[in-house]
This record gives sequence, structure tokens and C-alpha cells, in this order.
Amino acid sequence: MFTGLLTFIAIFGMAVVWILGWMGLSVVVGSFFDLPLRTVSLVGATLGPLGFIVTIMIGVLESRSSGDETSVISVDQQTTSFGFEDPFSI
Amino acid sequence: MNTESQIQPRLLLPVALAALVLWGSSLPWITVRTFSGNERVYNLTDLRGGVAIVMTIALVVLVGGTIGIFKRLTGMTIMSLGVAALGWMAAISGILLTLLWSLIPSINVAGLDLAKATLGQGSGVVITVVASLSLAFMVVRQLEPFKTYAPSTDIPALPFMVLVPLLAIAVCMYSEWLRLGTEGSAVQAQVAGDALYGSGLVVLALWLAVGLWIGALMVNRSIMVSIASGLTVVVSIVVGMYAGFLWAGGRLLDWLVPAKLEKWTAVSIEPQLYVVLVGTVISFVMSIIGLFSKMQNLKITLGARTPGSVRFYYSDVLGAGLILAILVSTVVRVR
Repeated sequence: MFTGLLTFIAIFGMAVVWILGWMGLSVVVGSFFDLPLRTVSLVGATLGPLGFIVTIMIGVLESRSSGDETSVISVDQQTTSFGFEDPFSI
Repeated sequence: MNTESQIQPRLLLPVALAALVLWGSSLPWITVRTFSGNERVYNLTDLRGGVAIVMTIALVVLVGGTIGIFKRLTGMTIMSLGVAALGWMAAISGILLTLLWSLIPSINVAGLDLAKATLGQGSGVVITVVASLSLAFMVVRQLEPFKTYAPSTDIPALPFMVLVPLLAIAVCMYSEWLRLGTEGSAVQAQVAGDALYGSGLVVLALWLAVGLWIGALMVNRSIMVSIASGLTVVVSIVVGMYAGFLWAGGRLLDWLVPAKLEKWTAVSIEPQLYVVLVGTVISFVMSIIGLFSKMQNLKITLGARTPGSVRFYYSDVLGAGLILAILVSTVVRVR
């Protein structure tokens, strides 16, 4: 009975440490890429190492798309604020 | 007919996947093959307290399923977290024991000296891990920003076409490919796919390919499919060469042995070896096709209904099929 209880605690403890560990890593990477906390927590907790890789890939894809949006906005701002196209803009 | 019920996932398939994970815990997780030809299998329920662990997870799944009737995503998340714990237990147990075996080969496990045996993972691990990952994938694809990368009802067809042969290979890697023995005595050597030289790295790459294809189901971008295809091509070639050489060697031995040696009289090539050979060919061809963008756009719509007068959701049909398979398999095992 006592051995069974110890095994129960040990195995569940191992699984919880594994899940929380990958969740923590995914949250760290997710916050680096400004991904929603709830999403990255669930991805890390349920998918483990696969979730960690997927978080990195989504983070890269998201930062790429947000980077594109930023460059478009800056060009628009330059055009409207000066009233003409800036010859030195890239 | 793009209603709210069509956007939300149906509940039967998640419940069926959770049931599959629980059923997988009763299948072999660890296989010990001794050189005397004996094979012993162990799973979670063989441990003291193992049944209590399965019951606790079943309770979590039950609670998640009940909540899922009212709040679909919350219920699915609870179920997914519960079965993820079981899935990871299966994966970690295999990794830990294999590592222990490679570091201390003379260790005794359950009264067996592992120096005189080979250790491998059982089919239960594959079923438990894949079913728990599939459920997790169903949950995650409902969340932002994953939602924008993978529409909630359409699923790319190509990853499924590659995952089926890849998983068949993964299952067969842990079983015997070739059996050498004598008719009269108990001396027998079982050559399993995971017991071959260097197969540990190959199995790792195989699982990485499976993970990438599951990722390709979630992140519908051509770069993901291309990376997964590239790795699968390499894995297919390596595993195909393993299987091909073993098949040729077995055939050659079978041809030579009766005339040259009297003791080794039985060389049998197991059906799993043929499954691996066919699986590698299919996964190789599908991965090559996957490198072309046109095939990457093929989709299966799980949220839609089947054609005909009596209409069902595709996901419900899949879920019902899984539950039926579990029931039939349980009845067969009990009998």
C-alpha cells in the first residue's frame, strides 16, 4: 500500500515536472516573441518538446509578419507627415 | 452552412482519443527479449499504484468530457492535460529505462539480467503518445495565433498520408524483424528493429519526423512541410536500408544455413519487416511529393458533413470508428 502510494506520487511528480518544465520553456520563448501567454502555456504543457519547437516556429512567423506591417506603416507615415515622398527613405 | 457548431470541434473525436490513450496504458510499454527466446512485456498497470494512476487520469478525462458538453474548449483542454500526463509517462519511462540500460547494462529489472536481454519500447507507447498529441493538437489549433495558421475545420491531407506509414514503421521498429533459432532447443535470437546497431539515433529521427508532420498539421505553412519532407526522405532511406539489408541477409542465411550448419535450422523473416519495407517506400514517395507545393494544398474537412441522405460529421465518423476499434480489440484480448 505504502509502496503503491510512493510510486503514484513519484510517477505523477515526474510527469508534472516534465509538463511544467516544457511549459516554462515555451512561456520564456513565447514572451520573447510576444505570443499570448495562455496559448504558449497550453502548447508547452500539452505538446512538450514538440510544443517548444512549434512555439519557436510560430514566433518566427509572427515576428516576420509583424515586421512587414511595421515597414508599411512607417512608409505611410513618412509620406503623410512630409506631404511628399522622402527621397532618403529606404 | 458555416454555423457556430461547425466552427467548434465535435466532442466525440476528443473523447475517443482520450479513451485511446487510456486503452494504450494497458498495452505493452516496455518489452524485454531474453536470448533464450522469451519475451516479457510490462505496462503501467504492472506497477504498484499503476491502476490508481490510470483511474486518476480517467477521472480527469471524465470531468473534462462533462465540462466539454457546456464549454467545449475548456473541457477539451482539461482532457488534453490529463492524457498528456499519461502520454509523457509512457515516453519518459521508455527513455529512462533505455538510458539506464545503456549506462548500466548489468542491471536487473523484474528479475531479468538486462545484460542477457534486449530492451525496447512496446506498441502501447506509440498509441498513447500519438493519441495524446493528436488531442493536444485539436486543442491548440483553436487558439490564437495558431488559428490563423491552421483553419479550425480544414486539415491538410498530406501529413496524414505520410503519418500513417511513418507510424506503422515506428510501431514495427519495436518488434521482431528476424528470428533465428533451432527446432529442438530453446536457444533463439530475436532481431528487433530497435536492437540494430545505431538504431537508437534512427528511432529518434523517426520520432522527430512524426513530430514535424504533426506540427505541419497545426502550422499550415509550406516551410514546415518542406522540412518534414526532407527529414522523412532521409529517415525512409536509412530505415529502408536497415530493413533491406536484414531481409537480404536473412534470405541469404536461410539459403546457406541448412547445408552449412546443423544447429541453426530456423531463420524466419517476420511480417513486421515487410510492413517496414512497404512503409518506407510509401513515406519516401509521399515525402518527395510533399516537396511540391501543389500537393501541400490538398485538404480534408473534418468539420463538414458526409454526403448522402443521412449525414454525419467526418470527425464523428472517425471518433466512432476509434471507439469501435477499441471495443473490438478489448473483446478479442479478453477472449
